Amino acid sequence: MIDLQKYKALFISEAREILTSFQSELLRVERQEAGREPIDAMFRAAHSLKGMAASMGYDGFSELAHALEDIGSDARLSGTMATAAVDLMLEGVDRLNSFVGLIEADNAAACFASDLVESIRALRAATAPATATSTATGGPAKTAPGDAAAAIDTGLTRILVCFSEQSQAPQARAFMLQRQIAKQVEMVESSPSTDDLRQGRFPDRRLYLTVRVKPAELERLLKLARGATDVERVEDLGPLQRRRSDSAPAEAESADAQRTVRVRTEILDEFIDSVGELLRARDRLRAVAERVDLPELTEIADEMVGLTKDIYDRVMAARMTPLSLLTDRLPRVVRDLARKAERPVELRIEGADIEVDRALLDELHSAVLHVVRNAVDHAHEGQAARAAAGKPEALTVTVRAARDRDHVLIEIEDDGGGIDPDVIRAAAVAAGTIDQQRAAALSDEEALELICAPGLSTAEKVTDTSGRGVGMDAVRSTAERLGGDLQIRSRLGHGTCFTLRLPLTMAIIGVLLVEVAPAVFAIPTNRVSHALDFDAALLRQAYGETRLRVDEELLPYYDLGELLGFCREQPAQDGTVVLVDEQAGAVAVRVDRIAGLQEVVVKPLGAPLAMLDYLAGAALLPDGRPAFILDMGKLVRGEAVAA
Amino acid sequence: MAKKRVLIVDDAVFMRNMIKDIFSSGEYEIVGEAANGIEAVERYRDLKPDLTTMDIVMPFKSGIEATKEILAEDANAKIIMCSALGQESLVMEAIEAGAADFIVKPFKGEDVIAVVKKVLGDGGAA
Repeated sequence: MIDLQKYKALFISEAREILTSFQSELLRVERQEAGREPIDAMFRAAHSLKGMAASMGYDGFSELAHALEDIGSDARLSGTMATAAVDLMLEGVDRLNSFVGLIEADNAAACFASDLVESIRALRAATAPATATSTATGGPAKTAPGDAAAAIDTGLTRILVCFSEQSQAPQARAFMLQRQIAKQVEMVESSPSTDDLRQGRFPDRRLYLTVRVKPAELERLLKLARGATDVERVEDLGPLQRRRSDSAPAEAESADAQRTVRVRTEILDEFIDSVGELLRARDRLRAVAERVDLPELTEIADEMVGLTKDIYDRVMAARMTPLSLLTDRLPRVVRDLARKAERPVELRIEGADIEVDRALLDELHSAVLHVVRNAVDHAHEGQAARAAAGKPEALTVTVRAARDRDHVLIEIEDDGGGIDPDVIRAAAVAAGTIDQQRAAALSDEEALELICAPGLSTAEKVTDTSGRGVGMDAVRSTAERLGGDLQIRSRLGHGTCFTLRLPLTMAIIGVLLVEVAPAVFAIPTNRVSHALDFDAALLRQAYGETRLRVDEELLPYYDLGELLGFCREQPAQDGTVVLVDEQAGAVAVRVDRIAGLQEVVVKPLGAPLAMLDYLAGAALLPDGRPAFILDMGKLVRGEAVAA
Repeated sequence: MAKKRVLIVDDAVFMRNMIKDIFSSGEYEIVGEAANGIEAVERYRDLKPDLTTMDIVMPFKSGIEATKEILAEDANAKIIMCSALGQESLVMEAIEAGAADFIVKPFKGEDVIAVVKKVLGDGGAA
């Protein structure tokens, strides 16, 4: 028995990914883009989900995916999809998404959607005559003409072969047919693959084959398949077409897909941690090399520096993820919001192929969503006003990503009514964020900044009149926490543009937060070996300095407050000692208190703080406080600040 | 039209008899039987039948091994594997080795004949 549990994580991540693209394909279908291709893609998505879920034994999931696949199958035959079908599909996608959540919470038994499956059946029954005619003839399904000019025949044809429920050995039957077909024509793809079949994976008795055939050969092939034992039905799914713009990368894409593997983000994080360990080991090696005076060893240690850096860079590169992972979810959100608000909105996405650090993407998602949502909800100035201004009926919201050296710019721009700085000023005064006089003194740009003020963020008035401000403070603080910023430009009558400027990569490290009244500092955890209660009785004067006895050793001892130049009336009597590994060995550092462990994004320091070499950077803590990250080695060696 | 000559390989007499009955229509002639893989290879060599039905799990030499050996000597040999439910991976192995087709126990006479016709027909037509 295969232990399915170990495939669960993979199932979850892959299902989520497929569902995301499923949804964007659906929206393309709804917009009637590019003929067959999105319908095919959507159909494949449903099909894959069904198969995956069935192999995992998630019956409710698989049943719903199957129903969605049926809608997709109808759509392939007719070449279009009715709005009602799209709606049911979207509902299905939502439901499957929530199922993924249930499965993640080990509650697969709760995946249950017979109501929806029933609705889908009803819909299909109602529209059956249209599709039944084409299937009833048993002949090949007609290929929708699609957008013939924009489509390129790839010479590939897809065939579906359904094996009968009565077949006693469907895998072996499918396996045999695969071999027979592969002997006659070039078989580009088979789903399930030969290996899947060998391992008994053939959950729905449907074999999808992509073959390269000439029209004359196709008939012979279909005949062969129809005549095969236990075959119930054979469908010619038509030539595989690609839109012209997609045709070039098509080959590369499929080749790429074969050469990639899925890696959990945590593994990459662990990788980075390991690289940190490696760096430390290298430092120690080099220290030993110097001590024993072995130049050759020093050389090896230096070589390790370069290699370690290499590994670090490559892992960071592996963490890069295209923004499309985020933007692919937007069309659906915008569609739903626009429907609810009953205002037409056109969403444009540019630069989705730009890659950013995965961690950044996760954080960014809600911020971008928020701004887009605000735009759809509030930027539309009303049909009459738009017409009067000579603007098209639909509000255009553009999400644009661009690279700016080591930063990524994400702009969310609308062509709506813009934000009136005076309204903001008035609202800010009304909310007590700022007084009348100061409000009047603000420039228009500064007034716009006010919509990010926490006090104003939930003010009804702003939302209603100018249409902005809900949670904008959260958006800005996200940007800042990620080491970037948020800019707002708006022109009355012309629209508004929010620009998030963020670093492409983020160095994320684990830190130990230590308190030295009145401040909090961060020490990278990979440097900390122990923490223990401070006991002044264990202090010794030795080698001309103060040492702390820890176990059998006398470690160099420092009070972090004193190192940092904080005044203290008398030597501390309590607190916590943190043992920090440094190049020269462990040192004991007293702090008032340990405030916690935290993963933080390292922000480089600007001048003049960057001149303090014992500060490795700064981090914004989740509660918004900044904390300096200490390079203990340099701090201890310099003992600089006190002087 | 000449009768098709059939060799039946199965370690169970019961199964051999049953298959014999299925082939009793007059179009076929049972020219020989074998009860294990070794015997099967020898009988094939002697008889050169038009068709062989081959059980998979047999003593001394499995049906798959026997199939491989027969095909090595006669690439045109038409061998139909007789498998039981749950032996799909063995069937796939046999097909990979060159077996022409397979039937699954318990047999239904008409299904067996359909497969046999296909295997023999394919030889002539294609």
